[in-house]
This record gives sequence, C-alpha cells and structure tokens, in this order.
Amino acid sequence: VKLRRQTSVKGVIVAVTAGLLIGFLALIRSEPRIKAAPEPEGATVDYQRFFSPAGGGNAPAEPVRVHTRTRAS
Amino acid sequence: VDDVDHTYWYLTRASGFVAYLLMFAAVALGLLLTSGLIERPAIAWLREAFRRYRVYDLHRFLSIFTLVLTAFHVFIVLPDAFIGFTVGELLVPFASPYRPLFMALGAFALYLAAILVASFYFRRLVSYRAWRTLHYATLAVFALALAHAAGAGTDTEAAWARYIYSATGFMAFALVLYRAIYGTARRGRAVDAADSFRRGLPFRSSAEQAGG
Repeated sequence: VKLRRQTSVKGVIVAVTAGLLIGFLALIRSEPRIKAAPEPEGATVDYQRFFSPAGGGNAPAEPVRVHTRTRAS
Repeated sequence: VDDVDHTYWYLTRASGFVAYLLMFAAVALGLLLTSGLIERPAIAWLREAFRRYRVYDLHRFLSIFTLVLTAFHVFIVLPDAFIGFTVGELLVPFASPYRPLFMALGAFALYLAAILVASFYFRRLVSYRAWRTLHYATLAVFALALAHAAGAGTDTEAAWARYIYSATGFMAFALVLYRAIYGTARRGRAVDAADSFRRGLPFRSSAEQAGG
C-alpha cells in the first residue's frame, strides 16, 4: 500500500497554523495583561467561576483583577 | 514594564494556544482513527474526506508539527528580558520560580510528547501491544497540556481562553469515552490493526482492503 503524502493538505495545515498564530498574537496584543505590580498571593484563577467568568445575572460585580506579569526572580 | 520589548512574551503565549489546538487536533484524529467513529454511516462524508490511511498520515504529521510548535512555545520566551527564564528553569520540572507546579506539568507534557513522536519511527522495533500501550500516554500529554495552559497561562482569566479549554477538553473527553465503549470491542479490527502494524503499514480494515 502506497502512503498518500498529501502535501497539499499539510500545506493547508501549516497555513492555518500561521493564520492562527497571527490571530492569537493580535488578540493577545489587544489585551496584554501586563502590569508592573508584583503577582498577588494565592491562586490567580478562581476555579469556582471557571466556566462562567462573567457570572450570573444577579451575581455581585467583582472588581476587575488584572493578571500581573512578574519577574521570575 | 513599558520600556521592555514584550514581543517574545506575546509570541510564547500565542504559540502556546496554537500548539495546544494542534495537539487537540492530533489527539482527536487519533481517536477518530481508533474508535471507528469515522466509519459510521451518518458521517460517511467525513470517512470519504479522511480515509483511514490518510488520517494516519495526517495524525503523524500533526503530532510532529505540534512538537515543533511546542518547542517554539518553550524557547521563544528565552530572549524575553522581563521575566528572565533560563533554559534550566524551562526544561527542569519544578525549577521555574513562576508557578512551578503548572510549569512542571508542561515540561512533563513536552517530554512525553517527544517520546510519543519518536515512537512513530521505532514502532517496528517493539510489539504492537507495547506500542499501543505507549500511545495511550497521548491522553496524558493532552491532559497535562490542558492543566499547564489553564494553570500557568496568563490568558486563563480571559473568557475566550476558558471557552477554548472547555470546548476542547469536553470534546476530547467525549471521544475518549466513545472509544472506550465502542472502539476496542471489535476483535476483527484489532487483528487487522495488529497485522498492519507488523507489516509497518497504516491500518486499513479488511473491508477497505477488499475494496481496494
């Protein structure tokens, strides 16, 4: 059995990947999430609200928590 | 903060998402390949578009490409002057001062993925059972990558990132469940797969082979 190498399909995958990379790059640059302050103690992700980050209709509004980028050391 | 070039930081975040999505595609194709789902009459069009031997080739290509992009995701952060990761902090589990647990999960995923991609090339040297058992680690790689992304990712607080994690995680879980229930129940398919493995060929069922 001769394998079909499908060069064209692989080319499409590479092109789509490049497109995704550019798209995510633009999305991330639009909301950089960079702040000079040190990272706060404790978990930065509230897993109780993982699947509904916007909260329910009657949920009290939480202050916006900006993810902080910290130095490694 | 503003006086530092953040391009490499943006690149590592963006490439992380793309590598994760490619990994999901590779895992999903692998599960489609082995679960028999692609052969169901309801999705005959999909079967025609991705006949089994084509899917195998794509699965292998996606796996290798995912590993390359993952390596890019890891090492593109090195030139970043702000966070200052070293190679050791990136590659040695728990050495990272930034969220060491979730960074370690990512390192484990990288190493397991490298072993799995290498296994495509030495599969003739091991038994089919051993190769298949090793291949189950693919699911662990995906789970580790998901945990790494959700736990260490800067963008996890963004709704769009959570939707990506939730949707891909749910679909992968559903495919694993389907495969666990239906994929391994047909002994004839397993025999076909073992025979193809011995001959170093991509798997095609008896019916497909009879049909040319």
